[in-house]
Amino acid sequence: MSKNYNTAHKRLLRELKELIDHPVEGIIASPVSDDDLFNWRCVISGPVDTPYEYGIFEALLTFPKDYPLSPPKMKFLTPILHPNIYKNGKVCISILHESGNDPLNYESADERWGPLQSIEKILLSVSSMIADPNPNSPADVDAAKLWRDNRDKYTAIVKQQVLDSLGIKLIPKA
Amino acid sequence: MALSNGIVIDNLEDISDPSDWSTSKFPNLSQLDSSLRCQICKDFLKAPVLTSCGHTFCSICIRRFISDSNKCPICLEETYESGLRKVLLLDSITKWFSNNRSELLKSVKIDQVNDSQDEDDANCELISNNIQILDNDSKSADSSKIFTINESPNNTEKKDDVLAECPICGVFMPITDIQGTHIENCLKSNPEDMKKSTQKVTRNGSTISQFFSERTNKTLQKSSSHITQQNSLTQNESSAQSQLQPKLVKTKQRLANLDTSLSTIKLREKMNLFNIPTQGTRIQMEQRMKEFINLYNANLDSMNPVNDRILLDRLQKWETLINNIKPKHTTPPINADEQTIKRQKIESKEWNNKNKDHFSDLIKQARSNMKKQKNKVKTDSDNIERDDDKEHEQFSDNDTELLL
Repeated sequence: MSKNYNTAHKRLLRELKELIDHPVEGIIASPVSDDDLFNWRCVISGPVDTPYEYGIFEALLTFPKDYPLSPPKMKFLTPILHPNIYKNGKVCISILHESGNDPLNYESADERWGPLQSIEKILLSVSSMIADPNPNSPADVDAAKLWRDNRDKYTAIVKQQVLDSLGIKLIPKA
Repeated sequence: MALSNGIVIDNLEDISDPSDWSTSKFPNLSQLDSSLRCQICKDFLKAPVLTSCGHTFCSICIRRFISDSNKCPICLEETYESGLRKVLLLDSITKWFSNNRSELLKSVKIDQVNDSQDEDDANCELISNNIQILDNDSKSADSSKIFTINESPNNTEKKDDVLAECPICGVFMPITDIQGTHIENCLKSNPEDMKKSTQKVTRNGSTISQFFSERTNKTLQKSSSHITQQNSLTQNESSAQSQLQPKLVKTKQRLANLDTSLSTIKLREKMNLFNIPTQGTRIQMEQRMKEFINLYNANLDSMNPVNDRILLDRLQKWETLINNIKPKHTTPPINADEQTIKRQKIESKEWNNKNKDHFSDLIKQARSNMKKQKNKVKTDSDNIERDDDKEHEQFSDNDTELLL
């Protein structure tokens, strides 16, 4: 077995097996293609009781060659309005920040990346971040402002995005 | 694509998981299974080491991690490379467990056990017996009886698939391969090290050829008695021996961490000392040297250390893997960079367009000033400086946006 593969390969295979054998509700993840373990495509369903409910949000996980020592990068492919997600889809969340990389000590070390974290934990954290935005360190300032000042408009935009993510087009009333 | 399919699909079956035991007669074995795994690579501990905070990892895993940040991944306490201690007994235990795992798993599978009550009992005894072997309890008569009971066509057929580590190069492969041509090739390829490797294998007093001829002469049907023989060997081995590293290790000193202030010439000299390739940029050389130091030191923590030539092989594999992955891995970030660069360009154009009037006003003002003051050179340079300031502002704007 895997004599030609390094730690990153083996670890990613193991996590894939774990996700297949013990699937987690609301999360699907697998490598983009069979010959590339370092790019994963994952799907997160919108958390219940949030404007994101029923939404299907697709994201790309890019793993570094020294995974699990360094964290992967995560980018949403589905448009999603959220204070902690950049306009280009990049996710800003403490679990994806390298440990010992925060001179301001804004995030405590135990919630940042470490080799004990896993893909499953990342996706669960992102899922709970979607449900519970952190407006104190916004990635998308406009979204954060909207979330804080005009929640109705924010909710309306998100709900439209959810419909778009499902490919549903509402026909306006005549 | 046919070849590449292998990476995911073919290997997925081979991945062992603590949850494999949950469907067996002893679901609690999954606790032992997961305890014997490294929290970093999630594989069975290889050359385990203990940190100063009391946590155990593969030597190579924790060394790689510590060279980036001096923290224990489990408790985040400060941990240093110098504080790592090898745990040889745990190495033996883990090796035993991973070598016997598939057989153990087969014998405690519920579907197989349901066949008859007798087999049930036999299997229970088998496990308790195996555990006793670990405790160094000699009950050779008992064990031979139990192993004969355990003999089933299913077990013997699958014997071929059991992976074993080549004592020379440390690579895992089917036992039959090692017994066949592999070991000879392995030895032939490095005649200088042959002596050392032979010493390693002959710890039990027999030569390599004897060791393997014993194995190959046995037919598959006789394999149960063969196991007994193997186990009695293990039993005879004293517990002190199971914690003894080959003498070779004592003659080797650990390598100190790489001093990054070292001049390139001295770094090259140092690398030449270990026959490490010295091509590439300074950064590549440093990375290569660091990885070699990690591999070298981790090797000294192993119960079955390999020779330096194999370490160099592993180093080369490590590097080709990194280089292979690189394009795939860096493509998305590069794209992102290009996008941001494009955005920056567009934004700077927009900024220029917006302030066109302002700029031309400034130029006009400057020109009139020039005429008034009659000191053309000075005002010109002022102008340039002003434009420069504008440029800086523009960039800092972009920067803050990116930071956010």
